[in-house]
Amino acid sequence: MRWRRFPCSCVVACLTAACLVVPGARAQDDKVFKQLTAAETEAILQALKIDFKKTPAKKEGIVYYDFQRGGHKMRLYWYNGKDLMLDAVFPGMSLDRVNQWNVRAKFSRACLHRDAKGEFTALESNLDLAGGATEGAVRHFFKVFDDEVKLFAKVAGGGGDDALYTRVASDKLEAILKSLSIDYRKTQGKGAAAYEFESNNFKLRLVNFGGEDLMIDAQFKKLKLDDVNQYNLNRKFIRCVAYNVGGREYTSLESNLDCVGGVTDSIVRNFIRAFDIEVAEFAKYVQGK
Amino acid sequence: MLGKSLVGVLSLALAAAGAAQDKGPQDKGNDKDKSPPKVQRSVTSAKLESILQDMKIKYAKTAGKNEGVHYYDFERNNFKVRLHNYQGRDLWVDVHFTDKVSLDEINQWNVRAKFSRAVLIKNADKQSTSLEAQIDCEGGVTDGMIRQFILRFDGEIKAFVQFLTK
Repeated sequence: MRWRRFPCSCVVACLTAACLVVPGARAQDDKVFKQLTAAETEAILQALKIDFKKTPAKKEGIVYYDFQRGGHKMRLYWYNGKDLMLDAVFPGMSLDRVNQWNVRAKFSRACLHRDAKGEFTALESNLDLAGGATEGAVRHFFKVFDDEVKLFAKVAGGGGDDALYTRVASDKLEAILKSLSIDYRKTQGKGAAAYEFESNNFKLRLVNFGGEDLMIDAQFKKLKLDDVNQYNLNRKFIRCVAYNVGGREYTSLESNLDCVGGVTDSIVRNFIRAFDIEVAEFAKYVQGK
Repeated sequence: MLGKSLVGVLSLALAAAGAAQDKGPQDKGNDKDKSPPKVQRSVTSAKLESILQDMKIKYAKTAGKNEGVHYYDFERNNFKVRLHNYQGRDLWVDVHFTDKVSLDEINQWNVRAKFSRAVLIKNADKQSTSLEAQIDCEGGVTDGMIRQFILRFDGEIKAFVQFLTK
């Protein structure tokens, strides 16, 4: 047995968990196991100070643990101790936006579900224990999911950051870029600042025009004007433009956000992230030309 | 002219910031409404219609072929404008011009444009130009953003007409 079994009493269980899992965690952190009993799983939850409600699934060998973390309802799925899944539920989103998250996410995936009550979006993450895991890895699994949920809540609009502003200050925009884990190179001009960064291997530039409007663009090879117009004819939210700057000809994909009517962090974040999808789509179009 | 090229963008930034103020009326919000602005991720017909009414815009509403799609036709400064509501997920505003405009001119407009784009539409032997703008509501919009979207487009039409008649 990898971990000591605990008596049924909650008090004793908590004390045991505190004594054996938390302090011992450092010692046990590196001990590799390939299966986790329900009791061991519960001990980890207790050590993480997670107050859970346990429900056995109809199907044998599956147990659900429902709890709250960081203001979000979460569920841990225990599958015969061989793998764990965490999920958190958010309001329904468009498939485009769900996909937008999945394009960038590393440690989670978003799925759109439909049931009798309507649509909802689930953010999910799995940990396969069968190949060998440690207690430290399980704890880390929870921590990483917390981070994923926080970020996703901002995308899904549940991040509580709906404060409205009509001027996007530099520090505000930079904090948003940081929250999106975007490393940028800033160039400050008179009344405008440009932020250059890479996203999905594309070079993007975000320009803040005095806080009143934002423009994001990406450059591509020269296209024929007919092709440029055709793209504009078939798409929303972007503008495809042919440039000739000092003899250098290229095509630019652009999008603007007018901030004067009032925006929020999540609106700005969505503006930046939605452009990733536009760029990926346009790159395919350019490749075919 | 408001340039946006990579080379010129920063040097023109000051002008751009100033020009942005000239580009169209700025919405300062509805003074009557003292409650905190609400961010919506879907714009219902009722919401859009109440905004249009608040803006004293008289419209004719028609339903699109697809469910949840509605068109609002109205006049702004003697131009026939159509506002499209696509299931609350995004709004689209456009005005069509029958003037003969070349692709080169259309691109010239797009080079300078920030809050609209011009598109050449060819239907058989007919040709028209659409000046249009879209707003993605799923990322979150406020009433103020929707009002600004409509007001800003007034400025875009005015500037586009000046551009065509230069």
